[in-house]
Amino acid sequence: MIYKLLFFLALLFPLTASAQFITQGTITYERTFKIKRALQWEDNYKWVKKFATDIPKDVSAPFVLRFNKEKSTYKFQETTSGKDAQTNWIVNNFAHKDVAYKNEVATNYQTGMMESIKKVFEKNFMITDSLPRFKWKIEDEIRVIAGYPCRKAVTTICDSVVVVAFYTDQIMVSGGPESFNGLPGMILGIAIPRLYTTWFATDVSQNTPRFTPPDIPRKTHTVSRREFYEELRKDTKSWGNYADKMLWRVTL
Amino acid sequence: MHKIIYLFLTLCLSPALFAQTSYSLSGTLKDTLNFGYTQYTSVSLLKASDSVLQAFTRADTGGHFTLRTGSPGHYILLFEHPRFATFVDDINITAADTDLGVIPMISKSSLLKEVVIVGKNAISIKGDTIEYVADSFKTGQYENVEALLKKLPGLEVNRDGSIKAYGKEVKKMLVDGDEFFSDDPAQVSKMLRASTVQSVQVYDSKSKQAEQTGIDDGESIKTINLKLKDDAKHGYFGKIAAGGGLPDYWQNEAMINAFNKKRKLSAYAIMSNTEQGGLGWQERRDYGSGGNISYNDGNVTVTNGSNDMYGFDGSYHGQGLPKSWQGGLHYGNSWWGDTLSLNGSYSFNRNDAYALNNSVTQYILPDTQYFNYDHAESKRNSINHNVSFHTKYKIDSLSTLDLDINGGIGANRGNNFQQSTAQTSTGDMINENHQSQRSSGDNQRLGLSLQYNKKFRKKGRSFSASLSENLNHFASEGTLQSEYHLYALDSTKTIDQRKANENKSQDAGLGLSYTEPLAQKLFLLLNYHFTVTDQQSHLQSFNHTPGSAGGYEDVLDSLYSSQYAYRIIGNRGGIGFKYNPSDRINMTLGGDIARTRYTQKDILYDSIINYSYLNFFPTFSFLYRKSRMSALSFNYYGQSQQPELSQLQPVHNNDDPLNVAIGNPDLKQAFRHRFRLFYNNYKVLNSQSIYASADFSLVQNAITMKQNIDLSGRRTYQYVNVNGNYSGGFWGGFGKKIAGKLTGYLNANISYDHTNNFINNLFNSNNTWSFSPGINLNYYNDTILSIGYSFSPAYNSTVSDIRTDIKTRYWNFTQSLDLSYQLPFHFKLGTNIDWHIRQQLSDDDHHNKVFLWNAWIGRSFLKNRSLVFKIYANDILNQNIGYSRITSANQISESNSNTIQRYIMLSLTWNFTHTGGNRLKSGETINIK
Repeated sequence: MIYKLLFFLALLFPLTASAQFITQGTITYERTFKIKRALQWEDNYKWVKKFATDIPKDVSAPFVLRFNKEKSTYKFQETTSGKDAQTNWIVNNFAHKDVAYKNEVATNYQTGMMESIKKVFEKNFMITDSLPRFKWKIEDEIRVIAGYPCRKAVTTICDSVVVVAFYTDQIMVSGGPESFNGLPGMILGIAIPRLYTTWFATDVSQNTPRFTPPDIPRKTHTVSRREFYEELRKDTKSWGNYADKMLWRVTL
Repeated sequence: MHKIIYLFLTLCLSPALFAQTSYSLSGTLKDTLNFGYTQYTSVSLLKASDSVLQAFTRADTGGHFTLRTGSPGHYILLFEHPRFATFVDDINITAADTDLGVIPMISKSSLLKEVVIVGKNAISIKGDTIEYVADSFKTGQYENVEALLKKLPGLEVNRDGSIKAYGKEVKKMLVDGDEFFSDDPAQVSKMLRASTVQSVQVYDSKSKQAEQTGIDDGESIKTINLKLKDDAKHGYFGKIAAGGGLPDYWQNEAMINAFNKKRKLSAYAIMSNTEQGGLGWQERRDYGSGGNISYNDGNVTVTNGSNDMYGFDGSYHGQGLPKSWQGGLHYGNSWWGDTLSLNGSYSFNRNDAYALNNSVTQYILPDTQYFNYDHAESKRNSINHNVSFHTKYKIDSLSTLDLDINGGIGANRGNNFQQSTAQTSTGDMINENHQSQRSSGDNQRLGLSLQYNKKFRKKGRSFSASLSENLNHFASEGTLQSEYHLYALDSTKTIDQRKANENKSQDAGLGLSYTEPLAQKLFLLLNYHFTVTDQQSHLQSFNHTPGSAGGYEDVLDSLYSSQYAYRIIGNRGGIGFKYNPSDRINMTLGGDIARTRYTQKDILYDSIINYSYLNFFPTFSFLYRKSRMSALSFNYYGQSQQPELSQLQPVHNNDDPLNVAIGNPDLKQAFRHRFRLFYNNYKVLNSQSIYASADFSLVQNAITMKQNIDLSGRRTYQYVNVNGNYSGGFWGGFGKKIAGKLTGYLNANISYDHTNNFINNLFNSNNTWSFSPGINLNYYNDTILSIGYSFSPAYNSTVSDIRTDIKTRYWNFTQSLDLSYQLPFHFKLGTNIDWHIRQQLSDDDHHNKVFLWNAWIGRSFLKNRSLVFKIYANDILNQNIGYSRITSANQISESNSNTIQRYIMLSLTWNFTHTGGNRLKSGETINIK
């Protein structure tokens, strides 16, 4: 009896098996900045606490990735809920809202080109370049994100900043949030401990995505990735050590 | 379980680069158990040594895959499919083509682990708060914080120690979030060494009143917080400096800061008779000596009486020769995880000053002009002791209790001699006056305030209550001798009196405020304040009688003696609404009503007068934040201004017999409307700042002076209400990093003022306007070279209605240069120059060009360069003549006084440092970079 059932299930599998793989759809990511933790680790926590007793644990913002096998767009999702409109002093001051906060990334997997629109303080940039290549180290760990088992992969950016990614091979597009790519599947989770920031997919839906053209703000400089980095490097030259941390955030 | 296959192939990953040396790997995946499809299985090739991903692909419909890699060696193959167990295989690639054959896919299992995110360091630039990591900016080893601030982009430090951040003046400086002796930036930045600072944080904080009442008064205070390094908190550092100069100048200082974790213990002592030392450390307390009482905004301020000689505030304004001795002790600590914190300090100062002053004042009257020549000589000394404590207790995470105690005692002594004559423009004498005054006084004061703040779980709801009590006592004794002659009447009057003056005041206050969210974006603000002030003011004058004991009779001169008791009761309540439709827009609308009742009891004549005023204070503000560094705001403040008691009924006083005040009991309240528009934009990456503000104010029923000058040059004045007074102004600034280490600032200031008054029963309007653009250039090259240059011309114009023929219009040009340069062999030199040029108004207008030049050279010694020897020359060209010029309504006044001139000083400074190493206990965190 049990063998019959197994056989029956096995017959069904070829149908469901192909359905388990996704080639196009929409993923909603939540980017979370662990603000309290970031402040706690900084030694200015004491004086921050003087001004605010209600430091939120984290600050999050939604992003949507629309993808198919040819291309993808990654966009900041404006929310209308009151949560974001709340003017929390701490959030406004410490959530890095000036540094590449609402990025937009368009990737063409066929040509291998990527366009990213980023605002850094008062400057708007459009970075047009080939897809950045990461040296991914694949690990044993598996974690379920948005119902998909994801394998852990680790890379470093800017020489020393560790990026932990979780990708699922059930989505057959090698993309991910921001400019992360190059894994044997879709990245559903990113964690950058030194920036106290994570991106995790909250919803994956299989549909035909509606791509919208990018919103290019007025006065946008079109630059290559190197030019972008050099310009910021130059602008922040006198800022000393902490410019590095800003550059990490910007180059994602 | 599975078989391991070794195959040998040659393939390529990047054909363009490795066309000749690429290795290909292929195989077929089969579900050998269930015969299911293995299509889309991901196949990843990792390097065995570090498991870095080299290539990946997907199996096709038949389960077949092909991969390419660039080099032979040990690899790991990873096969993944939702239905199958993840399959990991070790392979060794040696041949160009490797066929793995059939690879079986079997049942599923996986390892789930939680991800632990561990952080080590954090970020440093945070929107409105800009944090500078101190070590990123090079400063000399023993330089103070001021030298560090000069190097931070966006910050400017003026020569007098005042600091501007992004164009706005920094009013508060804290150390690790607490006051350090005081919150005066000029003081704090001189007290600490730059190398002990971990980071400098610049942000906007609310005014203390807004923090207490919860009512945003629209005033934001630029604040700098200095975060100290951990290792600076485990040791001591300081300096000892001794300097002596010719002719007869000295300046000695000692400072020590001994920190141990949260405990801060600091002490300083300074003695100096130069402009650089002690007296810049302002002692800014007001010592109540009675006289005027004003009651505005619900706060009672008791200011000094008309005889200002007691109110020497200890700050040096470039006139006279100062000597000062100062010392202070500060203790700060916190316990139980910062639940309880305490900051206490004691300070002492003794200031002596000897001043000589000559002035010429030209009075421009409707039908005549006359000149007043004045010579004054004064000796003053004051000794003050002050103690202050601030304790904060966090009851729980939502409520705090603050206790502030301030107290002090002081003594002042002064001798004043003055000689003045008034002459017509043709040189005829009008009047002549000689006066000599001597006084000595003591004062005591004590202030207490207790404040309770409570927040609630509901966002936006808060409550605070405060109680305060202040006691002031002031007593003085002195003599007044005066003789004046009025030529027109040919009369001479002499005064020779002994004076005894005593003032006592106490006030108590209660404040309550409450905020409540009415809707998600709408808040209600309520506040109420109650104050009671009691003041007793006793002025006694005794005439000289040659025969009596001590020279003065015991009977009061009833005309110039008075004894009043005042009681002022103030009630003020207000309601306001705050609306935040988004995080970009902030609007407030509100108003306060205050009722003030004065009771003035004349004890000598046994009469009581009551005054009562109802005052209104409407406010409106609108703020739009275009981005986090750019904002536009508009404010309106309306304010009733009630007359001061001295304007209603002045105390009879013969201290200045040529200037006599007359009361006006019918004075009405004035009402001032103030409008202000402000725009700022700071571009972080370009270090570019733009600031602009415009303001306009209009006064209804303005309280203005009505003066009468008689033929003998005697002035009587009275306050009356007039309409039509207004003033307006614009201020703008633009700063930018020009190239590399060179920054430039441009600014402009325009103001216009229209004031109505009465002179000799004629209605008069004064129209004053000024225009002052400025340019400022700064260049810093590490610690080697720094240059600062500024040029600021200013144009002034004053015209009065009654004498439109006389127009006072002139330009003023000020240039200054600061330079310091590090020479070889540990020598360093520096110089600063101030060059003032003023347009000559007439041929006898002197001293319109002044060139002040100071320079120094120093060398450091010892292995750690902690000993510095310095030669300093002040005013090398000896051009400082203490000259000042003031033009106002109907007078032009020029004065010069004795001041610090050319001198040479040799000084030796030893900077000592002792750090106790890492004495961290277990459980404490160390910040790893």
